[in-house]
Amino acid sequence: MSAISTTQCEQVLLSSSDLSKASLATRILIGRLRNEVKGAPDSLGEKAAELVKFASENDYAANDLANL
Amino acid sequence: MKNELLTVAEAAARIEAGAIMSIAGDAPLLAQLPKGNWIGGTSVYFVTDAGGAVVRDKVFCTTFEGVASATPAYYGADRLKAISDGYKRGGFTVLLIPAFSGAHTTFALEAPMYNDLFAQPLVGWISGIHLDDLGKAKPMVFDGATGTGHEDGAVALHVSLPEGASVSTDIVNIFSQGNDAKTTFTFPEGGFSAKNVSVNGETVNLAQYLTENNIDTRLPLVANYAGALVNVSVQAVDTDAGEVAFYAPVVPGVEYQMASPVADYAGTFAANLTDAGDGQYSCNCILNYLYGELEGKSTGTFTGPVTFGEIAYILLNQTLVKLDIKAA
Repeated sequence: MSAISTTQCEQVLLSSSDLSKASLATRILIGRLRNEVKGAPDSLGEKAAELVKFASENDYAANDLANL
Repeated sequence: MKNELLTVAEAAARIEAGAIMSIAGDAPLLAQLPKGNWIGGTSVYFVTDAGGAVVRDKVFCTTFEGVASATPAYYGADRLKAISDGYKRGGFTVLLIPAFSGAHTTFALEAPMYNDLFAQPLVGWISGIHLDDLGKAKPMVFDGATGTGHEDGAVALHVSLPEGASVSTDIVNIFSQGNDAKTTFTFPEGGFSAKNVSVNGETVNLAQYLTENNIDTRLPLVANYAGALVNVSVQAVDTDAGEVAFYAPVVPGVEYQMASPVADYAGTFAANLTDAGDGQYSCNCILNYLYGELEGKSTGTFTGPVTFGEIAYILLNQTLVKLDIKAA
């Protein structure tokens, strides 16, 4: 499976789309990160990096993000 | 996975035979169980095959069959942040925490930030007591490895699976946003209580707002986490102090809406669940049991303890949590 890019993760965090087909863990994490980005837009890069790390460490999350 | 109400003698025999179990029951019953591969939490409310019921002479046992091994462990509130250190790769963890304890508060506020929280399914519940015993008894959890009961801290059952088996978890929330979709609530600060809230951008006192608008506080505030609806339930509205207490913390900046009313809790749960509950671990919320008047009503095949809070990675309210293991 190809790695998820930081740019893709930034797009996910700036979006408000429902990820109903993603795992519960992915939804909860992205929900938290989106809220943090909303409160501090300058943190987008840092939060996207956190999402990239999450996907790189958890196959199910990489799969979730690849299928958005 | 087997879910059943057992006598203390039957549960003890199961433990002594080496079974890996999560057990719910009244404290005096749990205290009689032998040491073994189990964890327990107090509850006397259950969703059984026959419907909701108060049971004080048996314990509700989930026996995890087809798993490789398990390690029960006790975590003090200050060690909960290291919960993932006990994770078993590809497995899952069941976590039980006593209601109203320091660990309950710590987990609720800090779990979303725990390192590697999501590396495997983490499910569980907040233990409780009979509501008639509020102020007289304390919720407890039991560590089967030592047979010790605790009024604070948490017990975890870290379970590993055989090669090829898999596990998944999800939630069933019968509530939805949108009772009044135009009205959103955003809190400036997080926590188990709030005085002020921004309603559509205007700061108001929440207790006063709920009272003046005759809002049914049996309905939770609902946030949408990228498609996962997460409830925060109202515990008390103190108009004199101008403060509202919650059963789970609100998160600053998150947009909440009041839930739409549910006319038939039991029927709505049954409609939102498959008939595959026999082989799954689940728990449901005491507020659903009370507000939905679930005593004697069936919610389908998902059976388990009725709890003072549910855990699916984070603390949840008024939600059914389920965990399913697929054999290799």
